Amino acid sequence: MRVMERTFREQLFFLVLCLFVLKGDSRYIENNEISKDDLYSFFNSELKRETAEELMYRRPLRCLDMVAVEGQFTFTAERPQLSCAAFFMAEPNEVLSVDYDSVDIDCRGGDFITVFDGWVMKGEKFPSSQDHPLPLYERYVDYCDSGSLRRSVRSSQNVAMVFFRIHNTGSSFTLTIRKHINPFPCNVMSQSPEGTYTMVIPQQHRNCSFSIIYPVAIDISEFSLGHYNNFPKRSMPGCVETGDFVQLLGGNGIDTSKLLPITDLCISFTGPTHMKIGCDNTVVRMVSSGKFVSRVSFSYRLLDSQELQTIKLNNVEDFCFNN
Amino acid sequence: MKSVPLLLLLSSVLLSLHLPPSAGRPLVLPGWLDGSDRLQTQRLNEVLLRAAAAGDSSPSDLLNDNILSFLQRRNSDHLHLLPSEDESEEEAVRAAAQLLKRSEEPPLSIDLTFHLLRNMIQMAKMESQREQAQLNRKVLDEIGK
Repeated sequence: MRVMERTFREQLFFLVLCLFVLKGDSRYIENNEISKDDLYSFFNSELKRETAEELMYRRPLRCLDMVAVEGQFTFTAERPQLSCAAFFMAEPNEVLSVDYDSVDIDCRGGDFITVFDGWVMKGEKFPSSQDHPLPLYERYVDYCDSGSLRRSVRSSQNVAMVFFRIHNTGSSFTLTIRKHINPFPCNVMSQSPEGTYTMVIPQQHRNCSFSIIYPVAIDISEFSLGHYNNFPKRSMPGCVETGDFVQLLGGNGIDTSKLLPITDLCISFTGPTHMKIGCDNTVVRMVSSGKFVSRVSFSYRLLDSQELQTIKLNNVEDFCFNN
Repeated sequence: MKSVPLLLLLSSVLLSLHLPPSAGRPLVLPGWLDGSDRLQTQRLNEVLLRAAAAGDSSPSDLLNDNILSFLQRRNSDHLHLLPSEDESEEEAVRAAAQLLKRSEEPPLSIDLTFHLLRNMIQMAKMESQREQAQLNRKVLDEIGK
């Protein structure tokens, strides 16, 4: 009897040991308590959002402003301001949400606050109408038209902006800007003149563009459009008919549909394509039919003044140097 | 022989304790994917179409035609300002006319040079880095306590 108990105990211990070793969950520290003072909350960004009211960044919003940080921004009119705009910007893999917190404006008197999904400059919009999922009138969201129903507007890409007009001194409004992760970014406006990026379109029938508003030297290191490597020689000169290709565009505006194509790439390769583009805006645009997972990787750096001068002198078509 | 069912019971208890807690959490959809707005605007859309089609005591036929074609062409998401079903249909027609007039205004834009835009981006990035440094300092202070 005692022997049987002993062997049973041994078996039991062995079983428990095996279970713990195989599962290995004991190495994770699970903490389901949501408490303000808990250190864990600092490392969890979602909790930080809810509990960090006192940590939220606050500052006044200016009539012409650019914001790249999360926080609360309050505009107070010290005098009538009839044409104001604030640009918002996030990292390439993030989208922005704009929430109205306390709005004290006179809609009937002609005041407005309009959030635009993208950036508009000199009548040109980024992303262009061809690349954006929404029609143009849906990209403008006016607080006076939709105030109580739409307290929060979320952008489709890493840039957004707000236009506002305030007639009465003392009127004010507060916007809360938050950033959210976007796992498959499509249209991106680069924050800096230097960097690397990989754009992936996961079997979606859409066009995505990466816009760099600087003259840059760009290196396309690798791209694959899901074709076989031994693609048969094509009799047609361009890539447009293939349905999946990468375009390099350049020009002086932010609307990608109004830029001039510099080159098209549609045959997969793993080898660098190096180009120096002296335009104010350089765009890498990927057109995808949706049949394949398309991917392109590239790096870029700012052109210095000497390189710019060389390009200007050598360039026959000076479409980027018209002023 | 008594040990076998006891062993099975113990192993099942131990295995059940190891279920990941996330299995029970509900799936949270992002805000823009829920369809609540669509139903409301669909109802408003029907009210407007009825109002435009009636046309007895309302303004001229031309305006009604405009409203109808506007509604058919455009998405009903834009009609958020419209009154509820309880109010009169005339008011709905008037509101739609106002909306049509407003939507024909040129879209908002700003004239900025690239040079100014780049400077603004640079300043905003510096502000963002300063703020991140402040936050990091607060976190590290908290850890040090």
